[in-house]
Amino acid sequence: MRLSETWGRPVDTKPRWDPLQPQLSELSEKELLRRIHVEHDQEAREELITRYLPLVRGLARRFASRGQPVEDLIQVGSIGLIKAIDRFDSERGVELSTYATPTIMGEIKRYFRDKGWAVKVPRALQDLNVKLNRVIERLTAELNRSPTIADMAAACEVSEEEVLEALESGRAYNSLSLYVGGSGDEDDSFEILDYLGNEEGAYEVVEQRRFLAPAMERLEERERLILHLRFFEGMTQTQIAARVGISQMHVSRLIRKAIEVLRQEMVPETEQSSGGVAA
Amino acid sequence: MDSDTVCICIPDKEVFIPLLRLVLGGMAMRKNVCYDDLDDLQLAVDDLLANRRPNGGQICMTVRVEGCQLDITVEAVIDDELCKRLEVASVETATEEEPAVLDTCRLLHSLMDGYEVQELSAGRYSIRMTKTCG
Repeated sequence: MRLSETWGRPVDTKPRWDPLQPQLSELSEKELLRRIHVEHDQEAREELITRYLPLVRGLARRFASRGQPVEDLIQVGSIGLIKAIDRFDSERGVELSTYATPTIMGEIKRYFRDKGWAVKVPRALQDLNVKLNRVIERLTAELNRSPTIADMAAACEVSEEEVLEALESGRAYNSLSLYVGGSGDEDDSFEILDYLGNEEGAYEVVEQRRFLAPAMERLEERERLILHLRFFEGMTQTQIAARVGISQMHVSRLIRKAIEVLRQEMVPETEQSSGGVAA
Repeated sequence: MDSDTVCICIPDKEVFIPLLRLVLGGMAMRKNVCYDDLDDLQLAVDDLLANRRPNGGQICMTVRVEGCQLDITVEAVIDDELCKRLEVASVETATEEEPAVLDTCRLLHSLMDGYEVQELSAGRYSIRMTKTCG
């Protein structure tokens, strides 16, 4: 998809330079918006889009390591930018950048959501899966232990079988994705994005261990830490979740994702030797 | 002490593997096993079956619950080399000096209390894993 294809209307390429008129690049954002909304000026729209593309690129790069080409994310984010420009109301008294950022982010998240589910999972189960993520976290804190299926069912007011199904449906989700299901409303979902930028001091401990196998380098620092804590320090998922500052369900997903990555990396080696991944 | 046993056999195809997880979850649920332990059990079975060598046969899983202890026996055609290593590792104790290697042996060692391997026929193995929950 090309950016120009999303604009809907053909761009007038005839030069309209007038020495008595200021260049578009010299116009204020407010004036460009006025021209877009009052005069339906396509060139003003293009100018404003161009000015805001660095914002789109910046936001897209935050998702760079999540398995999708950044260029695709920029294209998707650009759609969000265009929607924001078209819908922006100057009378609201907020800056366009303030208004555009969540719209761009929303478009990128929606893209990850749509890419994420490997098989068709009923929306109700997706939503319950997202709800369980929060419920497990809350119950763990309240009960001071990992909750049982019955605890979760009671908290969500659903049957225990539904909880099992929802947990199982979560396995259908591609853990490389940023978005872990939900209704698509930005405020009603748990997202890895919420944790970007969090640092964990104990990463250094893992770095000091000898990661002999190249396969480990394929993992992110946090994933290496989680594997180390779970399989070499004997910590439970609940304990790891508390330490790393993410939910227990998220720990579970990251463990599975990391093991899958290692398994894929191990295939050629396993065929040649008894193999294993040093940690 | 009362014990309950559930057996399930599925075609050795990826699409049926989730059924094993659901049965495991169902048994764990009835014994009030916490989510932490349930995920460990499911991950252990998943990882073991990731090493299977499908031959058009069946995977059979037996889950036996007695008190707080769960016994899970998986019968399938599984990578020979892995099963040989599992056999050795199941009776060995890792030492601090050994390089820490994250493989299926290590995973089962971490996730379960114990496991044993038995060859049933050429390439077909029975892996019995135990875990005390709660």
